Amino acid sequence: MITLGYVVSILALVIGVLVGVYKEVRNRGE
Amino acid sequence: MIIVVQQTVFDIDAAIIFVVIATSIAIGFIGYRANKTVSQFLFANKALGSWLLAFSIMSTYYSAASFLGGGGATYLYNLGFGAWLTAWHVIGVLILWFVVASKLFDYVSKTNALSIPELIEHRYKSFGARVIASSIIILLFTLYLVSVYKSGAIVIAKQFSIDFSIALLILVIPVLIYIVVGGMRAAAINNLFLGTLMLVAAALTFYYIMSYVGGPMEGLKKLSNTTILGKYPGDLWLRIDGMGPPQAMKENAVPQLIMSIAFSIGMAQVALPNLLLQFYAARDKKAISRGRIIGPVLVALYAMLMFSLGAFAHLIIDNKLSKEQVTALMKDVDWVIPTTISMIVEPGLRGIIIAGPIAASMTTIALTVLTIANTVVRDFIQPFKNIEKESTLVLTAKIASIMFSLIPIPLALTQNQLIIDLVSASFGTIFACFIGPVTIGLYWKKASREAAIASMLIGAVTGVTWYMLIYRKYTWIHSTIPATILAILTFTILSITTKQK
Repeated sequence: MITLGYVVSILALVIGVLVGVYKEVRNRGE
Repeated sequence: MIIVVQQTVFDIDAAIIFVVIATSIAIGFIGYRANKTVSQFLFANKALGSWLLAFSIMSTYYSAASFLGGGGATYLYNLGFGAWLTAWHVIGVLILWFVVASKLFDYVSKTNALSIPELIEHRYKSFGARVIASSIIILLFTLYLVSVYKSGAIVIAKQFSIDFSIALLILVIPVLIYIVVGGMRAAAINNLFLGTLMLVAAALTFYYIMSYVGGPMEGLKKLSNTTILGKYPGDLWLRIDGMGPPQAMKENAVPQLIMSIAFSIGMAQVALPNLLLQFYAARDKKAISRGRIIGPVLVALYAMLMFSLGAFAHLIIDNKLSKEQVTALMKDVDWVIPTTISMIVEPGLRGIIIAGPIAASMTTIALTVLTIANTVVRDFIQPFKNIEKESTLVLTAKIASIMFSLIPIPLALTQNQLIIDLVSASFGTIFACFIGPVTIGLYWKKASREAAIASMLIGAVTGVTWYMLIYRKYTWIHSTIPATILAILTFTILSITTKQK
């Protein structure tokens, strides 16, 4: 359960950053 | 509580803190010239770029409590507290930037609503809802400031060995000067400067503690082979149902206590008006789009560096302290990190670390006071007395800033239990009040006026009464949880059942 907390933190951050970068790149392309 | 601070003839740590405070005042004058209209004073002329915005929101959100209580928490609680406090912070900041920010910016740009209560009035076509929202913001944020003042001033009082009331003034007066002189622009630039300092302080603290224990994995191994106070096996720190407040352990309530506190603190970001207000000051949508990448990284980085350190501090300080001192630290975890760094970090770098929580307090105070000032001017004065002259509006906002930054000082000095409880309940209660009307209401077209008003009132009443009468007496579930659930339920049910006008 403790490990899960750290995994959720890292996964959520990585996904967030990837989505953020994807949207930023897409916005620049438009 | 004893904090070990080595004094030298020339206290370089104190000098560093002095330089940080003096620099923040100097930065105030950067915004001085561009401060003639209320939009310039309260919204930095709507010119904040992505970096300023991301740093400003991160440093407003994290007060000294994130460094002291957040850093020291796992000295008492098991590491599940650090893990889930970090997780909820990451989830909260992602929702704030990805779900709330753009929608809020679009709404504000379209309607020109210049405060959260004004947005609520516009959204629900109800002046009454605006008055209730304004009252909640002014009352609860004033109380919240009391806790921010206390945690920042106590660090200054210990470091300079001065009276707490003098430390309060040393903390508040510089912030007051730079926001009155430079408004939100000065506050945002200071938030970049002080926010960077907070991250550096967090990184140094993490580095020193982890180096001392041989790294995270080695530290965990050592912790599991240690017995704390001769009665608590270190293994208890590695189980979510392990270490916690003794009473909660007896009642097998540690996991629910950890999850409810972690959720309450981490998710509060998505509905706190002093954070939301800053999106009003964004230069354009691009600033928010880029901020979506920077903002979450900053919040997550700070959380990952700080929130799990307390448990490792056992390996550093326990054998240098008496049993009574360790017991006292486990009851008041705020002093775990300052005590630890005073033992293992050399002067100079130690000053930079101690400046971190002071910087964290200053940044939170600045934007919270500006949020209150904005609400006072925009929602309490302007609807009743239309002031058209910009210079008078700016002056009024400055007077409101001065008044509401001074009001929490006597409250911070009082030992009145009612005020202490109200202050403790205020942070989570603000979140419960605004999650429905602002965060959900931005998306949900069916949300109704009655639902918004009832949700704010139920959130406020439940948050405060649960904290004062039920929390820790009958249950270990933090007041924010029932307040948020009831507020959202009320908001949803009434929105579905009432007809929109």
